[in-house]
Amino acid sequence: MASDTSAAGSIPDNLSTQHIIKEGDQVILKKGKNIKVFQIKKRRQVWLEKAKFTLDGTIGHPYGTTFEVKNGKMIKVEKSILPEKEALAEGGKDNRDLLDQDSNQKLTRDDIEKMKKDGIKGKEIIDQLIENSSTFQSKTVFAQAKWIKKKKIKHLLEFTILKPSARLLCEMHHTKNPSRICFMRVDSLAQILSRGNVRAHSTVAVVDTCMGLVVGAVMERLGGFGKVIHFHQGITPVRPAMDSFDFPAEILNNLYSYPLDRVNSIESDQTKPDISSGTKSSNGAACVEKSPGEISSQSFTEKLEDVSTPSQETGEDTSAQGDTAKSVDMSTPSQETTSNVENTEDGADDINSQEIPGCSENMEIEEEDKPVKTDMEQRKRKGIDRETNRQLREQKIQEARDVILEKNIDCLIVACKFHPTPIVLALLKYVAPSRPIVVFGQYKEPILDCYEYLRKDGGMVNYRVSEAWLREYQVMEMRTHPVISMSGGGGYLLTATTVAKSDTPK
Amino acid sequence: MVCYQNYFYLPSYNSSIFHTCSFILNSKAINMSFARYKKKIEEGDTIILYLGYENMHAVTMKRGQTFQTKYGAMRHADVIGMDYGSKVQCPKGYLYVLQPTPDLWTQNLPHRTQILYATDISIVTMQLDLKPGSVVVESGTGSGSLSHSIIRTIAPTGHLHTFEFHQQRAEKAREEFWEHGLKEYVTVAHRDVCQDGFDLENIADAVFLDLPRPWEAMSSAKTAMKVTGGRLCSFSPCIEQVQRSCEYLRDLGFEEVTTMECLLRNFDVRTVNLPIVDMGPTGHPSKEDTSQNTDLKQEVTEQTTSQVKKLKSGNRDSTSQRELKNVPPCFDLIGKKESESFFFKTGITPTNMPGHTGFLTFATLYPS
Repeated sequence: MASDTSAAGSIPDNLSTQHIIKEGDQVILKKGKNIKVFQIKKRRQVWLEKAKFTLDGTIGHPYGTTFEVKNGKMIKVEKSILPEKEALAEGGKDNRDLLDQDSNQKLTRDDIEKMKKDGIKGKEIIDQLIENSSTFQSKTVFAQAKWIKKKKIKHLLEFTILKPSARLLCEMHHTKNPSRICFMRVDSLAQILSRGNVRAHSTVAVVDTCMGLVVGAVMERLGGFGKVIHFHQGITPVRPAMDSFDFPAEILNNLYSYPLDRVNSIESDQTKPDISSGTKSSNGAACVEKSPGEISSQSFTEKLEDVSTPSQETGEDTSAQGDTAKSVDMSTPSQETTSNVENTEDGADDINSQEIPGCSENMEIEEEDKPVKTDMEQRKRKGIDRETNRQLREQKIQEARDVILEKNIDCLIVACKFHPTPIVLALLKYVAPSRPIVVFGQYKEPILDCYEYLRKDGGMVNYRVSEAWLREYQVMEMRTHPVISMSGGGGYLLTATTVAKSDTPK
Repeated sequence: MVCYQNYFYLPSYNSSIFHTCSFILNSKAINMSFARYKKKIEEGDTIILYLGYENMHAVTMKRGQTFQTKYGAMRHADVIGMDYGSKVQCPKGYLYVLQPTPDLWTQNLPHRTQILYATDISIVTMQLDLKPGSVVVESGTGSGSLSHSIIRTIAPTGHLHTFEFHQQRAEKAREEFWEHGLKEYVTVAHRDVCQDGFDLENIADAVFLDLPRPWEAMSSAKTAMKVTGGRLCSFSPCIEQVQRSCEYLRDLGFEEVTTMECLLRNFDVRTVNLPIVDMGPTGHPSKEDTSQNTDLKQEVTEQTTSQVKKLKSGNRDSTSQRELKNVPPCFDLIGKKESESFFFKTGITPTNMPGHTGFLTFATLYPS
């Protein structure tokens, strides 16, 4: 692309374009544990850490570069060679003479705000804070370091720009919206992928209501080789987490989608029962066909808006179509997930309310300022007759169905908010023998239930129910200990290996 | 179009530094059972015999040989040609023949060293951002437990450079990769990386160190990493090693230095029958009688009552009333309550489990 070379002149020659931040890219902004995904768009304001700024300044720099927010712009931070070895030479002996008083700090909140407004660097603000602290010098060296670290988190607006990955996206969603990814911790996702033996040249069936996070992670591991079938809720799959991966078309081409409410009719599904719902959807945004190539160019927020529409229609379908009701009834009887229709809407609201104030504004900007990459294609598509879209979608579903009916799936992953037992029992027959299945759940009991049913049903060996435990450590000179707060649970897993069907004692 | 990753990696190392491939695998058939899923078992395949939970064997198929299991002898020739996943009848029982996955291999491989297990392997794979196309540097190779998983994830477009300072181990590992049909994805070198470094420059997306003194290899590891940056992992059982490693990593300019520990707790699914104590007819005021019950029953009573409370709160009908009338048992999600006992299914944690394997330290090298 032409824009790659234009911006920063400091790019080493041996960097290929994939390592350079470009307009239209989905990028991760990382500041310590705070991770957020944005799409790079020129002149577009983003809100993060109580600051409003544009990402224009990052374009042309390599991924992994750190920027500081200054006057609403991103300015590259030149890293010193010896970063954290501070001049912490002098310090007090202990804290016996320290008193907790507001007067310890002579700078007021307003002073700090003013400095920020004047565009003074975070580092200088911290130096000012040290200078104006009456107690800093008498703190112990370790306490000084801790104090500076805290102030840095508070006042330094430095973000590192990274390429999205399964690891970072899982961490991000787990911190921000764990309920939307069934409280799947990053180590659980790691287990799912390993135990499922997800690798290139395999066909993986994924039942995912975790915003497409698992689908995305699987696609990352397939790297464009093999196939992924996403069993999804509603008429069209909604996978904002997968879209953040920013997969190129050649990887997205391997993604198939199949609606969960048509699982029971996989074998008989020649009559295209979608006709009624297809006509229904013509009144909303949901009718815009989300073919894989197109979906990636849309923004996170934009898609979330769409979430509510198709799910409402799922509700309508329930009345129109008898067998859809089953999938709706499967929702977990918990407070958070009373009914799947409501839940999806709640979730969408959740996100919207969590989006900081500038959110709506962003979207307006977006409306005028369309993404560059697949912009033309998208506009063209939107213009296409809705009926054609519906047919296209139907054709895609039939393609997915063909893959399923080969009964040669290499791995079945169930990671959803529904009760797993009926899903696993329905899909197990499409998995080839001697292949792993992985069932993930937020709660232990449904996983145990699934285990018991599968044991009874036979056809598998090497069952295991497990839970992972993850603890982080702070490692510093004389200050090494486990991190004070840790996650209480990252979900439960059931894994097993299929065996030849003829041996199924049933 | 944005190229998602480096699909075309050409090894650019100087081949002379590597121990020359001295052994020749004469007539040994090379199986592909590790590289890809396949339908039928062929001669030369390494297969997993599944006899029961944690009772498995890895066996390489060769006509004319037999394998002794606790269910009696199994002739290789009988199994060759069968579908993977088939049930095999032996004189005194049956077993299943499975296609090996790196996970199953880790459970059944011949130990030449202490190995990394599935839980840590999955964390390493995820935290190093491995995917097809990744170029990984590993030291030491050990028994090849992690190596098999790395290859699984980075194939077919990535490459693993693995280093082992013990000559026989290096050769054995190389032989295994060859036999498993993974030759094209891996380069095994016999080399002490702490002394001599990796002698690789700007090729690696990720480095994994499992060494007694990992810091001695860190500077060279940094050189091996791509200019676009990458991730590093160091596995150490002792906290002192971690302490020193973290210091070195920070000094070398690595960032986001994080240390973690991950354990897996397995659940044994069981039906438990908890007796409900007879506390006598109601209406008796003598509190002293109950307090005299100091044996084990007391404990069980407490447990039971709390379970009953749970049941009650979870049930719309009053369980106690039913119990008194001796009506048929009621069911709910938690269990089944009868007049004299409470049945429930639960996941029982093992009384003993591995409490520590090692600390995993991860760090990122950003482009300079």
